[in-house]
Amino acid sequence: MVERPEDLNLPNAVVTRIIKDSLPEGIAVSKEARSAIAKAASVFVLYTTSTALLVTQKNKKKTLTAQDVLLALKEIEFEKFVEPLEESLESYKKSQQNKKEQKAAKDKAKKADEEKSSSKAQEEPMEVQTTDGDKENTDD
Amino acid sequence: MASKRDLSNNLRPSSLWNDLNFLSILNSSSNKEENPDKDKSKVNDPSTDGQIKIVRNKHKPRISLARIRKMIKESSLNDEPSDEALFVIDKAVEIFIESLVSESYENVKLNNKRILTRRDVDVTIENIDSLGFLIGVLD
Repeated sequence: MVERPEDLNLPNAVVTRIIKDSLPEGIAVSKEARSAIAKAASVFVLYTTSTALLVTQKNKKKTLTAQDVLLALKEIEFEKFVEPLEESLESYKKSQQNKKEQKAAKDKAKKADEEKSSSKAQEEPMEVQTTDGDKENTDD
Repeated sequence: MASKRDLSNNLRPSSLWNDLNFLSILNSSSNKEENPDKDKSKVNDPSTDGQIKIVRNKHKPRISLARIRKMIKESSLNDEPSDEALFVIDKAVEIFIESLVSESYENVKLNNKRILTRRDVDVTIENIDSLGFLIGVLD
């Protein structure tokens, strides 16, 4: 079932970073403590996910959704997490939406550019202006 | 048998865990406009008696979503978590680690130490009901 042990673990660097950010300056963390916290976090992921899946299955769905996860957190006594998570989720949805819109606008602009340059190539080459006309304009 | 919360030698009821002010810090990060370019900054506010304030990009996942997706797949739990589900799990783990560390740190403070050890983590797990799922799991 499990291919490699590291696949079931969260990236060490990120866990260490979060631990560090959660402590004031100058507080060290023992290797064993760090390892225990990382493992606890991994177990938390699996525990939360498996509970959430029960919710998914109860609703006769196939896809695990954010709502399933939030409900699961309430069931496993982590209800306090739900409100900040809902807020984070809202921000996330907005930022994803912005990204989508930006990409669509970019694609549109790119397409317009491409059309412009291809139609330009079909025009006859313009004659080069003489300098006389320019001199007139630079007086004053 | 004495209840866990009655132990007097350097253990005490886990008030921080139940203190919603801690979690409200996460909500207040949206009001911080000072460092929009930084992903996170750490501020030690003396007025809160050493309590840590953490500002972070709350709409950005910290743990790679791909890794969480892989974890779920490898453990054969599910094949199709939605992106939003992955994001919520990512953030939930972040909050989980912060809560576990902050609570364990209370024990460090109580004992006037400068290092957080495995023992501090164990004590926290024993004391907090919702962490019961970890008992016996961490070796």
